[in-house]
Amino acid sequence: MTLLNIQQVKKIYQSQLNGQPVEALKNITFKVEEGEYVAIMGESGSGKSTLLNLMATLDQPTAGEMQLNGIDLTTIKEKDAASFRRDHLGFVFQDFNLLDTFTVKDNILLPLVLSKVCVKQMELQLQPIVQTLGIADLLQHYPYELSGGQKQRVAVARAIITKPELLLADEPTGALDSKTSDQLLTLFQQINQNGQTIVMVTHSSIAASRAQRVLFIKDGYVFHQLYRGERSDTAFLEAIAETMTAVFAKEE
Amino acid sequence: MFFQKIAFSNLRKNAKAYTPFLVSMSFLVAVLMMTQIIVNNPGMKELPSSQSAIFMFHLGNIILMIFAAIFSFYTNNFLIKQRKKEFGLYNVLGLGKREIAFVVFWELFYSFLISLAAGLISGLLFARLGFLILKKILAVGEFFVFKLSFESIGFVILYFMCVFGCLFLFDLLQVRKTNPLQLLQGSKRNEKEPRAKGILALLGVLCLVAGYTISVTIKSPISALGLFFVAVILVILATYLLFISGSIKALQFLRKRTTYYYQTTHFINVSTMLYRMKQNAAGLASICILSTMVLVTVATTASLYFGQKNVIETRFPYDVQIESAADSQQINTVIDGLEEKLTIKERQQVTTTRPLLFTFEEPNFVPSTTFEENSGSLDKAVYLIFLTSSEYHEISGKTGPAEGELFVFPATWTQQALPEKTTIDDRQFRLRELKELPTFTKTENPVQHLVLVADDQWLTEKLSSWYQKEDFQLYQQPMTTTVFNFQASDREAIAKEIRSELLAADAHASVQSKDLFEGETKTFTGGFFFLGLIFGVVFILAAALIIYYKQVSEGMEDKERFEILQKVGLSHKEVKQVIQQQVLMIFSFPLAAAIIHLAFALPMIRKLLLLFGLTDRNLLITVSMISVLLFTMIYLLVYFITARVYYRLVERKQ
Repeated sequence: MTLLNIQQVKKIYQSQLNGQPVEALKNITFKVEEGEYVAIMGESGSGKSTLLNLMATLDQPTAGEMQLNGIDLTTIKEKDAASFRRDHLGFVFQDFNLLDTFTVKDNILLPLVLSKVCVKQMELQLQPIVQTLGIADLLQHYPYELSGGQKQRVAVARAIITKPELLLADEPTGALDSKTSDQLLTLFQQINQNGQTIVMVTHSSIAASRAQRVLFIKDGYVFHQLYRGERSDTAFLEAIAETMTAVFAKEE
Repeated sequence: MFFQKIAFSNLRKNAKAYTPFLVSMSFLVAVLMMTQIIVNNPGMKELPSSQSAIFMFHLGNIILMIFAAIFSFYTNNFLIKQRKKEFGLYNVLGLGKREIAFVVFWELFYSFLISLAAGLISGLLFARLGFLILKKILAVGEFFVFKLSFESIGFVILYFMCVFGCLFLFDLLQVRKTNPLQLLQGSKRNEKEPRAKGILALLGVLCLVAGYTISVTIKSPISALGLFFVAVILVILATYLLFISGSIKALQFLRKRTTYYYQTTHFINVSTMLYRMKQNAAGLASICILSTMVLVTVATTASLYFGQKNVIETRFPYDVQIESAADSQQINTVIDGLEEKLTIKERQQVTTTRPLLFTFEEPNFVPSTTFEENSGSLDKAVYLIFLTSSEYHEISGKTGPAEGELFVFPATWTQQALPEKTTIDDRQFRLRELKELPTFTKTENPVQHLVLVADDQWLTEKLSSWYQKEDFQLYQQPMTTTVFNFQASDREAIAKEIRSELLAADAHASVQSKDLFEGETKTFTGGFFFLGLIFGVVFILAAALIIYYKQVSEGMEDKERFEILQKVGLSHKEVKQVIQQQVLMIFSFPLAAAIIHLAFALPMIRKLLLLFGLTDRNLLITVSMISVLLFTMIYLLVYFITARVYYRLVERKQ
C-alpha cells in the first residue's frame, strides 16, 4: 500500500521582492510504500532538505501533489498542520533539537503533552520505548548532560512515541561519530523491521546503505534510484558508491 | 591608540548587541538625573514636616540607585554573553587576555561616555518638561522650580563611573575565567537548573513577616520614621529572597503535580521559567519593588494633596489661634478693636502652662526635658498642658478638682484607657476625665497630648522645681491661648490683616491663621504630589524598561526553542497561548506582590501622614485603590506591547 505519494512537486523560492527566484525542486515524483525504509541522497544544495520540509508540512510546494495516506498535504492550513505533524509524523534532526529546558523524560513526552494525552497513558507509552532504546536510566537528566549518541536516541524516542505513520530523519548521523552513527542506524533498521516507515535524508553513503531503497536527488530532480534487494549492507554500499561516482562526478 | 581603535570599531560593528545596552544605560542615567533634581529641589525643604517627605524621597532615590546597579549588570550580562565569542576569536588569533582587557576597557569607556551624554541630556530635558507641564496643571507655586546643581550632575557622573568600573571588573573576570575554546562557544553554554535553597526561602518568609509585623503594629509615627526604614529593608530583602528561592520551590512543586504539569501551556512555561529562574527572579523582584515604590509614593502624595481639607481641619479647630505671654493685654485690645469691624464668634481665651514633655511610665508621668531623654521609648512621650484650678473655674464656671484629684482632658490619647490613679513627682492623684473643655478640642496628633487641671499652689511649686535650670526657665511661665472664628468674604486678605495687626501689637506672640495656612498648604501639598507623580512616572518607566528588555532578550533566546516546538507540532494558536500565559505569569507575580506590600504598608503610611496632620483613614484607602487601578492599567499596556513583540520574535516564519 502506498503511504506517501509525491507527484511532480515543484518548489520555487522568492527570496526578496525583486530577487531572482530560486528553483529548489524542479520536478520530483516518487512513492513510499508502507513499511519501507527510504534514504534520499544528494549533495548540499540539491534540494533534499527542501523536500523534507515539504513532506514535514513545514512548507508548501509551489506546484504538484503530495499525499500521506490519502491526505492531501498541500492544502493543510497552518493551524491544522501542527496537529497533523503531531499525529502522523515523527522527526529526527541532525542537531537533535532537544529542548534544554526539559528533562529527557519531558523531551520524549513533549508530543504526547501537545496531543493532550493523559498522564497515565503517557507513562504506559514511555516505558517500552525507553527500554528498547536503552535510555531508561537517563530519564531525569537534562540534555546538556548527555553525549551526542544519547541525545539522538532521546530524539528518536520522541519521534516514535506517537507511533507516527512516517518517521522523517534529517541527516540523523550528521553530528555523530562513526560508532554511534552505526548504533543509530542499527536502531533505525530495528524500528523499520517492527513496521515503522522511515524516510531519511542524508549525504552519507554509509547511512544510506542501511536503507532498503536509495533515491538520488540532483538539481531538483530525482536522478536515479537503487533497491537493495537481497544485497548485504556492504554490497549495497558499493552499489551506492558506484552510482554516486556515476551521477555526481559527471559534471566536471 | 590601537586598542581604542579596535574598541571603537567594535562598538560600531556590534551595534545590534550594543544598542539595547546603550539605550538602557542612558535611560538609567536619565532616571537618576531626574531623581537627583527632585531630591535636591529647593522646594523640598520648604515643606512643612519636610523631614519625613525628604526621607521618603531619599529612600526612593536609594532604591532606584540599587536598581540601576542591578539592572546594569543584567544588561551587561546579556551583552558579554553575545560578545564572548568574539573575544574568543581574538584570543585564538593571538591577542592575549591582557590586550583583550584593554579592548574591553575602551569599549566600556566609550559606552560610558555615550550613555552619560545621552542620559544627562534626555534626563534634564525630560525633567524640565515635566516640571513645566505639571506646574501648569497643579499650580504648585514658586517653590518647585527646575533647579540644576553641579553637585547633582557630579553625583550622577560619579555614580555611573563606579557602576561602569564594576562592570569592567566583572567582564574582566569573565574573560579571565574562560579559555579560548569556551570563549568561542560563549553564548552556547547551557545553564544548569538552579538549586533552591530552602534556608533562603525560610529567611525570606521570616523577613517578610518581620517587616509586615513592624508596619502593622507600629504605634507612634515618630518612631515610625526609623522603623519605616527597617521595615522597608526587611521587605526588600524578603522580596528578593522569596522571588529567588521561593519561586523555584513553587515551580518545582508545580512540576511534581503531573496532572497540572503535563498540559501544553503549563508544561512549556513551568519548565522554561524554572530553567531561567535565577536571572528571572532578580528581575521580577526588582519589578515588584519598583511597583511597590510607585504605589506607595503616589498613594502617599496623592492622599496629602486630596486630603488638604482634612489636614487643615485637624490642625486648625479655629480660624485664628494666638499664643502669647500670659500678661499680653495688647492682644485683647486688638481683638476688641477687630470685633467692631468684623463678626467674631466663639472667642475664647485660656491661660495654661506650655506643653511640657513627660514620659508615660504606666500609670505614672515622669517629667523629662528633652526628646533625647525619651529616645528609645518615643512611644511613651506625652505632652502635658497644665491648667490651674482657678483658671478652670473661670473658663468653665465649674469647681476645680478636689484634694488629691486631677481633671484630665485627653486632647490626643491613642493609648489604651487612661489610668484611674497616677503619680506625678511622688504625689498620687485620682484622675477624672473631662468630656469637654472650652477652647480645647480632641485631635489626632503624632504625639500624645493631655490637658490637666491641677491645684494652683502645687502647680506653681512643681513648675519651679522641675525647671530650675536656666535653659528651661521659660517653661515656668504661663502662656495664654486665644482663639476665635470670624466671618468675611475675602477671608485670606482679612486673615493677613488680622495677623499683621496682632503681630504689630505683640511681636512675641505666635499667630496662626487657618486661611493663610490653607493657601500655603496648597502650594506644598501640590508640590509634593507633583514630585510624587514625577517619581512615580520614573519608577514606572524603569519597571517597564526592565520588563520589556527581559522579554525581548529572552524572546531571542527562546526563538530556537519555539522553532523546535513548532516543528514537533505546536500550532501558532498554541504558541500564542503559551506566550500569553508566560508573559502574564511574569507580569502578575510582581504586581500581585506589590499590591500585597502596599496593603501591609498602609498602616505605616497612615502614621506617617499623621505627621502632616492627615487623619482621614478612608481617604488613604480610596486613593490607594485608585492608584492601584491606574497603575494596573499602565502595567497592562506594557504587558500587551511586550507580549506582541515577544510573539513576533518567536513566531516561525515560512
